[in-house]
Amino acid sequence: MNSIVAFGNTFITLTLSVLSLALLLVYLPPQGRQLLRITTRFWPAALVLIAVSGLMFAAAPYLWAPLLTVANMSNVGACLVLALIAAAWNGRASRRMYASLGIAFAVAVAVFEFWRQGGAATFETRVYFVCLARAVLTAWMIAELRQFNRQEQSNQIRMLMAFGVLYIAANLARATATALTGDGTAPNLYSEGAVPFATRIFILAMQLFIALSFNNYFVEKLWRQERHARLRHQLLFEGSPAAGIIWNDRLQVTGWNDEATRLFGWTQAEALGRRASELLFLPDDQASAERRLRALFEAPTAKGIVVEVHSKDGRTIACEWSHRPMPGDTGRPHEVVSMALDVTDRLSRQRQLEAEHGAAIDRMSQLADQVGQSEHSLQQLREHLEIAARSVGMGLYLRDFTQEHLWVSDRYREMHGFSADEPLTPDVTQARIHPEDLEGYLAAREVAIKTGENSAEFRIVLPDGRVRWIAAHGRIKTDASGAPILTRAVTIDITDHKIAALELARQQREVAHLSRVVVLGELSGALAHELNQPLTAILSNAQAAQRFLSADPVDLVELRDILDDIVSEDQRAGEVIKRLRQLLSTGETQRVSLDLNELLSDTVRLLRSDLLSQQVALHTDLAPGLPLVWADRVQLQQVLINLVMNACEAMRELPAAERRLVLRTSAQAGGGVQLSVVDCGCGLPREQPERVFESFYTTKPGGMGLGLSVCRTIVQAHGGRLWAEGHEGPGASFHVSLVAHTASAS
Amino acid sequence: MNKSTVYLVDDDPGVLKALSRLLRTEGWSVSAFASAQAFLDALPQDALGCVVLDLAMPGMDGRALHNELVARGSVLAVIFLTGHGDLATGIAAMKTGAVDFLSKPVNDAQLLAAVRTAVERSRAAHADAAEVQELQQRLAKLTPREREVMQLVVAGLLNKQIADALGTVEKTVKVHRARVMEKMKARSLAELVRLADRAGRER
Repeated sequence: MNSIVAFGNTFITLTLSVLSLALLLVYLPPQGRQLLRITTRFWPAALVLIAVSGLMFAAAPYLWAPLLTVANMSNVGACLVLALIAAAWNGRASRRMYASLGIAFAVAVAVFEFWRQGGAATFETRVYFVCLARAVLTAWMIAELRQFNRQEQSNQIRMLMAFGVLYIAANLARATATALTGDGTAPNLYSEGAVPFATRIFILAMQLFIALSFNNYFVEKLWRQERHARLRHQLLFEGSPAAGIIWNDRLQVTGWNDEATRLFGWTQAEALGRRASELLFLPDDQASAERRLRALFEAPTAKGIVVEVHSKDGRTIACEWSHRPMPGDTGRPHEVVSMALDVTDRLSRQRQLEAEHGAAIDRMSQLADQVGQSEHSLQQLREHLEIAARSVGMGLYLRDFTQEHLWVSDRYREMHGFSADEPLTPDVTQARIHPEDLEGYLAAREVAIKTGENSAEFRIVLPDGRVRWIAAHGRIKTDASGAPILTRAVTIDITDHKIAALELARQQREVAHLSRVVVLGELSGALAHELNQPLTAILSNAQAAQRFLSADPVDLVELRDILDDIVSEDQRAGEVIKRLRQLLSTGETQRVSLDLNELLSDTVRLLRSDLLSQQVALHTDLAPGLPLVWADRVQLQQVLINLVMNACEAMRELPAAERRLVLRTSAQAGGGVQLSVVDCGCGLPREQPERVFESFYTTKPGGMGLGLSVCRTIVQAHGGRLWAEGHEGPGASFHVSLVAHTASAS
Repeated sequence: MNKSTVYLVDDDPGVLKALSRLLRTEGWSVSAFASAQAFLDALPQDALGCVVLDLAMPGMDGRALHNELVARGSVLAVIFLTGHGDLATGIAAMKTGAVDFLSKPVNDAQLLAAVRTAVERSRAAHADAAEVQELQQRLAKLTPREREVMQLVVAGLLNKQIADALGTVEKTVKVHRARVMEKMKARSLAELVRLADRAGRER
């Protein structure tokens, strides 16, 4: 049996030595440096414990035998610290955990010491205790390491785990051998003379090194995690208007912001480390809550889910939740960030409104049913009904199909602009509806006949031409064949609300539009100014060259110099143009699907005063029902303005009575849309009508010759075509063709 | 022979080079500067000729430079060049005494004509200034008594009346008068009146 004990001891020793060397080789480059660095509060504890145990192991045989016991204690303590570090890395260690383990360890030591002092503890029991304690703690460490390795997938961790398994095996072997022999004094590493003193010191140093490497590895991880966590808190939590919670795959809360405290009532200290399901859901709902939270881990980002949760004091809070997984170091999510907005008020208001509306309809339906049943109190009931409806500003509409009878309340008449005694028929009331909204109204009614109930919003036109917005909710009773018997509807005037909303939207559009027009205008202004410099240089150089040529003899060197300068200045001008083109074609454009006719009418409105002052008669010839085009409103407007202004310029020489401008839109055979600007002015250069599109070609005295070239760039960027056409008589036509915007194109 | 210089001030080197080249073909001597400050630093006290100024320049712009020249009492005539022919700026420039206001790109004939006019005006201004200076030197040579006599002579008084006014005799006035005519280099009474008038106006 001695041989087994000796084997156990030697096994521990060899394991330690071999693994020390292996770890030394694996870790030395980065970890060797880390050895010298004090990084966090964790490693001094392990260092002290292991150093103390090492020293005592080494000294005990020479000094005082009981020291060995203390050494064993520190050794077990070191195992505990390491296991705790592993746990901390996995985000599981909490203050509670440290405290309970510390207390458990202290109690164990106290019990053991008491036992030993009482003489009950033999050397063998001490061996059992120490070996088993080591084995249990190491097993715990391995469990944590496994967890760690699931995310980390590192060979170092695997090696440490293997070492842990061997260490457990060795300790169990030692304990078993001791039990079998009943003698713990079998020769081992620490027996005097078993191995030379220097070897023992070396092995102890190795043991120290392993512990430190192992420790530093985790320390580094911890440190990184801590920094990461700080950053996370700063970014997401501090000052966030939404309540924020971070929780891990075990549903434990690892982050909790101030707003979460305000909303849910739990302080940060209370919340951290507890299960999210526990904090936010009632005890009865735990199972389903946990299931749903776990499902979030599998599903990616989820947004805008309304879930009711409970605060600390039991209030029910409806929250709109957004969840986002936080990828760990390996990319797999290891935590989920949940942000919640309190929508309780919003939701309850909405429900209240729905309920009110529903109640009003119900009450009215009941009353209306009574109308049918008790003929004699009809007038009375109607009055009753009307008072109820009027109090909430609603108009009432009742139509009995069987008796071809229509009754509306006074408020309804007021709303629709009927006088109190005007006889009404369904056709008369329907005639009030705005022609553009009639189709939608009839469709909504069809739905109501099928489903029995429906709502619609539409405009009505009053006799004096004013337009009001009406929201109506109706119920239609049908007979067995599906033909309507009775229609009951309430109407509310929502004009003010609607106008405000439309006005707001219009203003927003207008502001966006204007700012872009301004930007584009300033841009072209700035570029035109920039073009002036190279153009000035080119002109002056060219004219200087002309003068040189008339001199005798001609200075060819100077002439060559001049030509070089002209070329380079021309290139500079080209750069400016190129930049302009880039800005227009790839720059910030906002394509929307738009109606060319509408754009044209808008633009004409913009140009009206110019046309008037230039005494140009404008004729528009717009084809109805054109397909929409996908284009940037501002840019297309620029093209149109440019073409119209050009046409006006071209007609400047004509007598005012002959200045006619025609704007025409038409659908093209291929599904495209064409826009034509036709003038009767000076026309195009006869030989090369295409020249007008070249940069710097101009017939106007103050012109830069850029307008049409820029227009063509814009149109081409829209996938369209811009071309010019001379007339038989005076004038010219400019045509823009654009492809229609189909659903698939978007 | 063109003794006057055309000074060019424009922040664009390409424009500067082209314009100086164009002006040199006409035989002008050209000094080109890339900024208003460089021009002011290099400007001699009694510079003669014209300045072709770009209106829009970083740092001191054309208008500011023109005002500075006027403040220094320079006889240089100014022609403005501008990127965009802004009428209001043009009018303002002409009011402060610019010779011309041209917009870029500028035609050679236009520019050269403007430069010719400007140089002539500058020369005239210079000659004018020289004459006034000369007259003032002559005036300085007169004694206080002679100056009194001259003022009265120019005012059209007879020798006798002058003598009465100054409390002296006609003979003494005659001597003073002869000295005045000599010092002022006036050959006749009419010339003396003109010279005194000119010197007096400029004083």
